[in-house]
Amino acid sequence: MAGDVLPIPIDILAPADSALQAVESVFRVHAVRMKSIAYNLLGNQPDAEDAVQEAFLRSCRSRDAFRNQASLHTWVYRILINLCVDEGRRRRRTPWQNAGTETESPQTGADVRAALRQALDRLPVRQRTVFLMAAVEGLPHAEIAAILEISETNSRTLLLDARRELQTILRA
Amino acid sequence: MTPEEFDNLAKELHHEWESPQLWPAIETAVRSPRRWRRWAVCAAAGLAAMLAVALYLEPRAPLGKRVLDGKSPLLTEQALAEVSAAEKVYQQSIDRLAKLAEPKLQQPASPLLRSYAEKLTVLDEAIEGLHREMNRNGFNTHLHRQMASLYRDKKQTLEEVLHHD
Repeated sequence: MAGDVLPIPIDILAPADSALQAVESVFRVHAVRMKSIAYNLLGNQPDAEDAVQEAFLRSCRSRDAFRNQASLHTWVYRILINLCVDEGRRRRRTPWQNAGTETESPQTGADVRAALRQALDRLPVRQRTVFLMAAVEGLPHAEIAAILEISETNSRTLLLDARRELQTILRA
Repeated sequence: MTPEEFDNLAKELHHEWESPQLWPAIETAVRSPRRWRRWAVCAAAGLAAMLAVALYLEPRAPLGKRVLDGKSPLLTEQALAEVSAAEKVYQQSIDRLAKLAEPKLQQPASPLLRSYAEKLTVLDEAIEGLHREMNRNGFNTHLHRQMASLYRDKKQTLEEVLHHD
């Protein structure tokens, strides 16, 4: 009808349900690993959950993320890593300085784990991130390379460097 | 600690806990309307319009000049020959360095040397693969950059091996 104004849907700028579903499926598969990576980078569970939540929110709020769903999880991981690294820089304090006070049961190996966490804090951020993703979480190098936007070879050599550095620190 | 023990210890850093409220919190936040979004869209549309006008008004350089500005990822034949010659000399010097380090790496006396040897194997495999790729497409500057980066890493690793007691 001439003169009628078409109503603008209020929710026009909200992510479509299908997009949200795609993000939810990434959450279902990867959240456990993501929380663990964030925990090891930030040092406590609440901060790790906040970082994971923020990473998923940012991925939902950018429509670009939904153009290529095959790489959606890679993209969320990348946001998460960047958030954790930025947070670490902002704090200017290593997360595992007080590793002994973590609520860890006094079982055999707890001290060694604490020592390894403290040693990890001394690594360059790239080495630390690759070590956490590859050695701790078991992500394949191809995936780590895609997340960090580096080559697969670079991912492999960073892991070897990290492992060597850690062993040297732990032996000292 | 053996490499296997170390790998097992690393896996123990994996940390799991339940957080049943995490996804609902994300979903709620995503679905909540955000007033600034409309402003952001309007601002972006305005900016895009201004950019389009600016691009339309910008005097355009001739195509030939644009290619010669050095932004093209493809090397010319002469430049490629020069790059290849320089790369060859650089690679030969690193190969000489590798020969010097060979005795230490063939029978590594410590876990540290074993780790260096492992890293050098990874680098050599990558270099070999890249050589194959460059034989197919030698004009790609990205491949040359990658190769230079691998050789830099190899040189540094070999230096560390030679300085290791």
